[in-house]
Amino acid sequence: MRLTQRLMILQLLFIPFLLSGCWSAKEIHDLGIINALGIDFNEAGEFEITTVIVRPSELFPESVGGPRYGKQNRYLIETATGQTIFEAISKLSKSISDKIYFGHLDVVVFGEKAAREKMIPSLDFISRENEFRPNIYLLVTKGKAADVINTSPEFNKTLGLEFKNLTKSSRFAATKMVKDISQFMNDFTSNTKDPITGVLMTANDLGINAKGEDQESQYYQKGRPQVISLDGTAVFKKGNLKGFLDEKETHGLLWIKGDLKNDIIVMNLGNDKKVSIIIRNSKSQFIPYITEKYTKMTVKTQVEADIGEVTIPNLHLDSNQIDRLNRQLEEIIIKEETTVLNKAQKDWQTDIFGFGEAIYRNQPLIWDLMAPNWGNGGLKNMKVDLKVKANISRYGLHKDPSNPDESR
Amino acid sequence: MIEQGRISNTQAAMLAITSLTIIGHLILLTVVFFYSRQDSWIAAIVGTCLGLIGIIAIAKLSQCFPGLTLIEILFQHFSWPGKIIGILYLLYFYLMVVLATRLYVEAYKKVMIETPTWAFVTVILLLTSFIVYLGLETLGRVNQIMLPILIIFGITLVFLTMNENKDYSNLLPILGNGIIPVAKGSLSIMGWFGEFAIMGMILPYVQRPKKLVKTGIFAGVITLIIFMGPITGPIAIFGPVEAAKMVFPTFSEVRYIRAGEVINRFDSIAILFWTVGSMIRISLFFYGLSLGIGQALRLPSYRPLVIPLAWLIGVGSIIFAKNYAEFNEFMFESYVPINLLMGSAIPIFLILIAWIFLRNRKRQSV
Repeated sequence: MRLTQRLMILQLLFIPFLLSGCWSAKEIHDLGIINALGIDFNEAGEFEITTVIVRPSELFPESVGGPRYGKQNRYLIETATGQTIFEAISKLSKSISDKIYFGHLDVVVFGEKAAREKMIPSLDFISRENEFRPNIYLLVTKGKAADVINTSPEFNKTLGLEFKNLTKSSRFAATKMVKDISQFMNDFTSNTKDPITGVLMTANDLGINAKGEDQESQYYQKGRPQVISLDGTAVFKKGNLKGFLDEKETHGLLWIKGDLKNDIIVMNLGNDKKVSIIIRNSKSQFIPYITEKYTKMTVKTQVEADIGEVTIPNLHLDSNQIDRLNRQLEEIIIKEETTVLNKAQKDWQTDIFGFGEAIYRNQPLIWDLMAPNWGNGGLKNMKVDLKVKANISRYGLHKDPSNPDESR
Repeated sequence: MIEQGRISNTQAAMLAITSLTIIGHLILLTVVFFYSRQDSWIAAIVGTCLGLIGIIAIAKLSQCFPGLTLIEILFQHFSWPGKIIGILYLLYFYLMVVLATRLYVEAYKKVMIETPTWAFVTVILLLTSFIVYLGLETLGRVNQIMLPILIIFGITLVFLTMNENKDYSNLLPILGNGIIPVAKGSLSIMGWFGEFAIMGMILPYVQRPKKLVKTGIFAGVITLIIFMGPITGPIAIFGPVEAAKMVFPTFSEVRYIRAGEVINRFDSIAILFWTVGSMIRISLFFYGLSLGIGQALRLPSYRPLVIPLAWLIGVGSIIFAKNYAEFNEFMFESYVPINLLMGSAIPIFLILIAWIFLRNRKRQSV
């Protein structure tokens, strides 16, 4: 008995060996956290990767009085090229003394050329790497991704968070066309729909001006802050970028998909009489009808809206008037839907709406016969019947617009 | 009798549930998704009904020879063919425990890349050797504590991923690709339930042997219910095609969680719970293996066998497959047939022989 007890004590001596920590320990101050990734494809036929590398020790300094030894940049923006994305990143890694870490990557931005030609090989890397998460936002920019990555965050700590919150917390703009990597891959692999995603632009190109309080600050080397903005939709066909939809067409697309929310529609009721409507919710339903000769798709859209602004002096908001506004809103919606159908369905023949999905769910066996010809002819020849039901349900805190000298 | 302990029927059922669910989550999902796509859940239901046949056969066999384990039954009552089948079963238990150990390592390797394989193998085998050494009652009790926590975590996971991106309409159309994919998927689910054969080593030690069939069916149905979440979740989030290509679909689902600013990055918790599940599973098969060898050799105790077997398992799990592709091929090509044979075909065959044999003996005695 004594002996076993002594042996037990001997065993305890081995426990401290376990306290040395784990093998794959990664201390946060040794990490170079890649926060945003821009992928371009240059003329030389190589991938060009632009990354924002956050330095946690500078972003969240340990001592209260700020960093002790001089002020360093909170993040670096680095660019490297390579035959594949992975090679470019390995080149990047040579210049970084910390360990590259992808776990906090929030957004991947594709340049237009990369999206048009090299989308499919790029996606493989993103879904294979262990550290990437499935909810990284995937966006496309007109021009070079490097330009967007070179902007600086204004409302958040890091650029990645800025992108992410732009899509998440936008109050008066539709953001449902922005997809994350897993949603994109879902659309990409299915033969019943084609993927879409949001377009990211520097705001100055869209005529939105931003001016910082402290122009001397280290980030604004160009003299004025560059902010980013969402603008329209990127449409893909067979995995590669086909073209861009502008704001109106994006509306049309989201109406059809029943995804439009929180966006403003301006109804023009003749010379300078305008009513701005905010869309609260929209829903849609696809009802396919298939015969041997033709295919027909009925798209039913239901829209819920509020009045946000009225610039017609003598508008009397009673139920009849609301009904008239409803009819006008429906007309606008049908017009927008038709525009996007003409472009995407007739010209590009890309099924970003998910019509194929509706047919497949309804009649899977017939879809198997239709699928091969869907991209060249099948979709184009399908009749689309648009039915819209709009309902303006509320008008804010004020009824009729106020006018000067109104009192008796 | 080597094993002195007794466990309750519920504990036995819980052991089967944990052991089956963990391998279902880790690897079987990929196989079922590959075959049945969005109809996987139908395949799961059909497969469970088929799998219940094997479960009932094992339970009935245990009732026919009360107090005897599967290996004892085979070695004592079926003369030399029984001995051969008994050795086959021991090899099967060894294969399954090696598979589980390797699977545990592969899951960890996805997050801790630098750590060598042998380190993980050592850690888990030290732990499971200890549990096996302490015996069945300890194993049953540990599992009884851990399983409810695992289930609560699983349910939380379902709610946390229940955001707008989870689109259950991805499960439509039902039976869109015809009946054959579902049939293939349900066969692999049936094979999966074949692992219930290990319970042949546990069932003689339950407190109420008369309720064994009920216990077995209970375990099967609960496993199915627990399995419904992971079999629909990844398809709802990622779509059927993408989900079938994922190495660990549920792991990707956990990584998708983002509820507010704080509740995200659940990976480490998922890995932690997989560790617990794998631990129970490895211990269960390890226990079955060492007890079986002990009984086959008519040893007074199985305990001297634990450490040598741990060595064998460790080495086996490292040389089991050269790379993950090979491991995956094993799951797709060999796992299901082996389990169908060991978990359904042989038990049914044995129970039929036992019935005829016993009836004849009764007639002779009358």
